[in-house]
Formats: sequence, structure tokens, C-alpha cells
Amino acid sequence: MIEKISPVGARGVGRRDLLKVLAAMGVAAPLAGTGLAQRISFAAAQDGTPTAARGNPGGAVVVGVYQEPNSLNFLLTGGPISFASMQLSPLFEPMIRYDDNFEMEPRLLTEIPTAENGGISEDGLTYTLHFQPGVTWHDGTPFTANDFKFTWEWIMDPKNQAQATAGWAEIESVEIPDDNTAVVTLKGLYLPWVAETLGWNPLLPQHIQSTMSTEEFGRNPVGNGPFRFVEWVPGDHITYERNENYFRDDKALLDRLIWKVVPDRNTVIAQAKTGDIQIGVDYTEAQIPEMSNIPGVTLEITPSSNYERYHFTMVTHDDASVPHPIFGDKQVRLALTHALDRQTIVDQVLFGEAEIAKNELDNSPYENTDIVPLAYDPELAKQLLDEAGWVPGADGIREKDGVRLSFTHGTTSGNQTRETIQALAQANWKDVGAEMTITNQPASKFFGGFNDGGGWLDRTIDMVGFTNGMASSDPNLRPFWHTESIPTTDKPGGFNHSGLSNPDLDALLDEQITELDLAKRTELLKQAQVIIADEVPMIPMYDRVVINSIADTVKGVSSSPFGSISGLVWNVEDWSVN
Amino acid sequence: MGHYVVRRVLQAVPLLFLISVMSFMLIRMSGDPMSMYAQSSSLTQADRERIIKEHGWDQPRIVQYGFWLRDVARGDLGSSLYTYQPVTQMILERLPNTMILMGTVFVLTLVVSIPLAILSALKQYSKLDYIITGASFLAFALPTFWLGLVFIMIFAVKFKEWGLPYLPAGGMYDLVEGQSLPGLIKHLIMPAIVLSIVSMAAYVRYLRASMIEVLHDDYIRTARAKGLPEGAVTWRHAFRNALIPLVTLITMNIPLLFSGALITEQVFAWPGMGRLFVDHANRGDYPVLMGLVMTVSVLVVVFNLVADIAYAAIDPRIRFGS
Repeated sequence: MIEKISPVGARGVGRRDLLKVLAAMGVAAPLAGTGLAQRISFAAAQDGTPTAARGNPGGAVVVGVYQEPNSLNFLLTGGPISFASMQLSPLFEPMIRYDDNFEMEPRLLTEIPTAENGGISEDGLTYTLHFQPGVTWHDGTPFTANDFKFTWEWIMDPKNQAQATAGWAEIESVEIPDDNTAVVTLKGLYLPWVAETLGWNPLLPQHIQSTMSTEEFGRNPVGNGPFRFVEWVPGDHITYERNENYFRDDKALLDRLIWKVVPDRNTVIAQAKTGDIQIGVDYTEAQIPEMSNIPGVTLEITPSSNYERYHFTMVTHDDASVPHPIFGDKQVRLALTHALDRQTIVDQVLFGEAEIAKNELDNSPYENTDIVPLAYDPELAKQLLDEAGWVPGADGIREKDGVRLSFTHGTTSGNQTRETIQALAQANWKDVGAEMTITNQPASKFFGGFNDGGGWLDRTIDMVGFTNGMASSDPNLRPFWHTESIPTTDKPGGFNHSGLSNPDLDALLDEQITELDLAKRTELLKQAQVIIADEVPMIPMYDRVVINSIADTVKGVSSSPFGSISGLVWNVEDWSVN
Repeated sequence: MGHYVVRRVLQAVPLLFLISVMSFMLIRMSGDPMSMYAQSSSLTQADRERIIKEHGWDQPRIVQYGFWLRDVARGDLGSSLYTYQPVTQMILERLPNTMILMGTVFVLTLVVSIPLAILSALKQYSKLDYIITGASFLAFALPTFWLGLVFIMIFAVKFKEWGLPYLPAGGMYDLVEGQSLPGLIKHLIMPAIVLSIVSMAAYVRYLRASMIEVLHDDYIRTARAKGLPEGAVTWRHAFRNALIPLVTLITMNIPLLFSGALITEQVFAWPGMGRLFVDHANRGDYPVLMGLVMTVSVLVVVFNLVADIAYAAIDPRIRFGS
């Protein structure tokens, strides 16, 4: 059985209507929109039934995951939408969470800071955070706003090895007027602050973390969420049990929540069939046929904010100011996009479960809906190439000034879906006289750094395929498309994979990050999308979906489209078993 | 004898050094730890550049090797770049699991393959011999991941469908019931049998050849000529002599007890050393990989030496020294 959660808000209703609705709800009002209020709203299409009454307490659910978390300390897990965040939110009450309608909900906070409720100062620099009273850590010690201040200080001290400082690094000072209040002053205007710092992020207990290293705490976590940590047998499983002293009336229903590490994805299927696991996480599209007919198991397909893209390498590896011999030519990029039959890929390889991706910020309220996917039109592609001076040679492959229209294409090796799509693309492009050679790399190589042969951004492969989406719940495009984000030997940290450099785009991206007015910011982002689409630095391939299997005995699971994989557990305290 | 051991140990030092240089370069070339941060949404450009600098990944690889060697010289295998745990601790956590699995495989292999090999050798060119030989070749040619998946399909998935008692498809313990010895044994059956089937084949072939060779020796003919019963000839003379090369084989295979099984542990979700290697190879986590490679290298060197000594101990014809 397949249950498809469709983004009604994004697809059914127009996105502009959606913004109006959000505005009417007071959510998207200017400044309220700082960060999280600017929400993509996906309405879960679950037959319109309201959330059912809570189930009966008791029982255990085993969740099969193919990747073991590296730590249960959020400082080491790589951010709120990483794979490990799935294991974190049952243990640690997040400051703000997102429900299955993709709307934010204050959790450890009593309200989301906005200009209206006085949470954000007029100049946009001071945020007042109100925390829930009566929260205790799992060891019984009361939680206070001091833990927020401590968490910030701990993260910013380099010896504690915190990976991500996004949001936290923008804080100038934190004042604690009373136990439940923190007043945060930022160094400068920074629009993504609420999303990056408060969204899904937990806090650390000062009285425990300060006595041990970040890593040790990650193995012996003491949280304040609906479940408490019991044991972690490395490579095998992690066990949680209900927190009887949870500060909310609705305590977790399950006695135990167990994460079972099953590294081989074929074995995950077998375990879902035998009932060794009740929930299987993140199947590939290629596994849909096998998974859709298991008695007693429902396959849940949830859209995500990520999409697969093929990036053209537009400049050379050594010098980002030198155009790539083939893809430096926009006409070629345009032609190859027209030559690619993405609808067939979606229908055949992805079993019709995905849609063609359209543009950056796809499926978000910031998407410029005037931009539509370029049509499949091989004749137009040939014409464009002819016009640009690329003429077929003796073997049918086009040439221009002695350069053959022959390029390398790379993605992660061993991924059946990606490899099948590569073969289809190869055939499509051969039809218009372009030759594609496949040079895939293992993921650990492909996603490596700029100076270590990481093919996805080091520009040694002419075209690269991978999945990415919004960096956080904030639509900031600067890390992906600004000239300063082009990775180089000296500055290897940027994510402008293609090497697109456009002064008009740079100006827009600089402006949107400090634009307080949501409507104006959205307008700037839409203009930026027009430039990006016009430059054709990449081919948006298809929207990614998250595929989980859920045994019919488990009730209350309703994945949130936010945060892809980790969206599964947003309401874990409401899960129950018959 | 004492001199011999000292000389062999000294020879091992440059060998291990060479292994470490080559392993480091190959491991470092095949994957980059920055790949772990590729899709971490909250890392800013500055965070990425800070992490690269912190670990010295902006330095040439040979310098990075120097950092690693310096720590090893201090007796520190370093920490995982993924879990941040000390490598030694991670290895010690996984070692018992691997030894449970591989120890079972080892015993099972010997218990089954020795009688089969002797039977096969005694009845050379008989129907039984052909069956045993044919089966060994077949077993030897089977890829373990395929055999593992077939076992899971039959004994876990299908047996459950048919309402028969079925085996768990993976892991080490029954998670809902909790950890128990019967639970562990149930989880052990499939991976142990799959691994044994493949390794038995090699042992059968090896011991059969050795036994046949011995059976053609002069002293066997002499033993028969002086009227010893066939059983005594087989067991007291032939088998004991055929065992000598087997002891070497067993001793040299002991490091496998520690290194685990890369593929089978993956398929059966067995939390052993092989899994540890594969999981961290997929992340370019070179301190863990180097820790595992060097641990196994040292064991191989040590047990090669032990094998040589054991050989001399059980075969008086061999003497070390002059």
C-alpha cells in the first residue's frame, strides 16, 4: 500500500494564494517573517481527517536506519536537518519544531519571536526568547534560560569542536533577566537567524555538559524531551524509554523507542517484511515496487524541499575566471537542457512518484512560478547548437574550433537510480551530437572538499549530479550562487558549484539577506531566480521524495516534509502501537 | 631460536612502516572526510574552512601522514572524524562481537571440513569424493553477499510467510525482548553458516590434498606392510602428518578472527570490525581505517611468526638457526 503525502499548498493552491493565506494568519507579516515565519506550507493530504485521538500507552517501536548517528550531541551531527537529527528530537525538546503542515510550533519556547509580540526589536537586532516554565532535564535538574546562554558559549568555544555555528555566530551578547527569559543581541541584521538558531535546535544542560567533553555527552545524552536515553550498543541499536517526568501533559505513548542499525538496504526490506522493524527509513525510488506490496506495511512517500540537479561546470578548476571550454557557452547549456527528456525519467525511473524540478527554491513560497521547466525539444537543441557554431564531425559528435562536444558526467557510484538516469541522459544527448562519458565516484570521494578531489564542486568533472535544496528553512541563496561562494584553493568552503558569477545576481543576493520586509525580500529572491534560470548553470532534474515504510500496527506517524528524513519523528510522543 | 624471533620482530618494524605509508596514501586518496559535511545544512562557509584548517587538510598528504605517525608514536591511534571517539575504544567495542562470529565460524569450519576432507582423500576418485569436491568448488565460488541475501530470503522472509519457525534477518539481539544468550544464538546462526560454507571449501581442498600426498608416502606403505589396521594407519600416521600444514593455515588465519567479515557483517547487520571498516571507509574517516589496518597488520605479522614457530614445534624435522 502506498500513501502519498502531496504538497497541496504548493501544487494545488497557487503559491501566491498561499502567501496571502499566511499573511492573513498573521504569520507572514513583515518582520514576523524573520526566518521561520516565512513558511512553506504543505498541507498533508490525509483524506482531510483531523488528527485522531491519541492511542493507548505501552509497547515498543523499532525503527530501522541504514546509517548510525555519529553522536547524540547536536553540536557534532551537522545541523538540524541532518540524518542524526532524527535521533535527537525525541530526546531533546527543540526550541521550535515544524508540524506536518510545515508550520512552526514553539516547543521549548512559549512563543515564536515576532515584531508584534515584542519578540523582535524594531531595529531587528534584539530578540527576546521566552522559555517554558517547569521543564526539567532527565536527571531532574530544572531547565533554565541559562542553559541557552551556556549552549551559545559552548558552541562558540573552538576547543569544544562544534561543527556548525550558523546562527550562533551572529550573536553579540545574551542577557538572562530571569530563569525563563533570554535577551539576544545580534552583531548585525541577519534574516536567517530564527530559522538557523531556533528551528529544530535543542539546548545543552549546563550542569552536565560543562563536566565532560562534547563527544562524551553525545554518548551519554541527558535531554528534556519526551524520551530518555537508555543505551547505545555501537553498530547495533540505540534504545530510548518514555520520560515519565516530561513537562507536558501528553507524555510519550510508547514505552520504548528503539533505533536498529541495518546498513544494507536490502536487509532493511527483509526486516520490514519479517516485522523485525516496524518503521524503515529512507528507501530509494528503485525500491518502491518491491516495497509497495508488503502485507501489513504502508509505504509513506513525502515530498521534500530537496531536488536532484545536474550542474554544469562553467569555469575551470584552476582559475574560476576562465570559462569552461564547452560549458562556458550558455548556448550549449541551454541546448543540452532542451535535449533532455526529464518527463520520461520521472515516469520510467521514478515510477511517476516525483515531478520535474523547476528552479531554485522549488516548492517554497519564494518560488518564482513564472519560471517553468524548459521543454523537451531535441530539434530546438540541435538548432541552438548549430547557431552557436557546434557542427557535427565525422562520428556525429559536434565540434567547434577543434573542441569536441564531449564531456564527463559524475555522480555517486553505486546508486542504481542515478546510474539509470545517467544512461538515459547519455542517450538523449547523443541524439543531438553530444558525447557524455560517465565518471562516477564513491560518495566519500565525490562529496569531498575542493582540494581533495571532491568531484561535486572541484570542477574536474564537466557536469555533476547530486541532490540539494534550501540550506535551512531560510531561503538564503547566497551560499550557492554568489561570486564569493565559488570554491577555490584558498577559499574551499563555498557551494557555488558551477562557478556562476553575475554582478546583478550578487547585488540581489547581498540585498535580500538584510531586507526586513518579507514581500520585498521575496521579490528580490524571485528576481534572483530569473537570473539563475536565464544563465542555465544547472538542469533541475526532479523533486526528491522521502520514502519510509510503516507497519500498520504503528499509529500516529505523520511525516513532516520539513527536514526530509528527520521530518519523520516530529510528533514521536504521539506514536503508539496496537 | 631466541635470535630468530628477535630478528623476525626487528624485520617487522620497517615492514609495518611501509604498510602504514601505503595504506595512509591509498585511504586518503580514496575518500575525503569533508564529504561528511557536504550536506550539513548548518555549516557556514567559514565553518567548513575552519574544519579544514583544524585538521590540517590544507597540508600536503605526506605532512598529514606525519601528524598521524607522530600520534601513533605517542601510543595514540587518534579519534574518529565521524564519531569523535578514540579509535582504540571503537575497536575494543566491536572486537568481542567479531570474535563471537568469527570464532563460531572457525570452529564450525574445522568440525565439518576435517572429516569431509579425510573422507574425500581416503575415497579418492569415488562418487563421494566427486560430490565433496564439486560442492567445495561451488561453495568457494559463491559470493557471500548473495548467499547471505538468499539465506535471509528463505530462512527469515519465506519461512515467516509459510508459518514456519524463522530466523531473525539481522542484528545481534532481539531488541524488543532484550539481550539474551538464546537470542544471540538465533541471530548468530545465519551469518555463521554463510561464512562457514565459504571458508569450509578452502579447508576441504587444502586438507584433502595434504592427506592424499601423505597417503602416498613410504612410511604409510610400511605401516600397512607391517600389518597395522587401516584405522591406525589413517589416524595415527596419515592424519597426524597431514595436519602439519593445516596447523600453519589455521595459525595464519587467526588474524581473521579479529578483522571480521566485511560483506557478511554488512548484510546481516552484525556490529563487528568488518562493519566498522566499511562504515568508516564510506566517510573517508582515515584515523579509524588506519587503526583497523594497522591492528590487523600487526596481528598478521605476529601470527606468521607464531605459525613458523608452531611448525617447528610439531615437526621435529624443522630447526631454526644456523
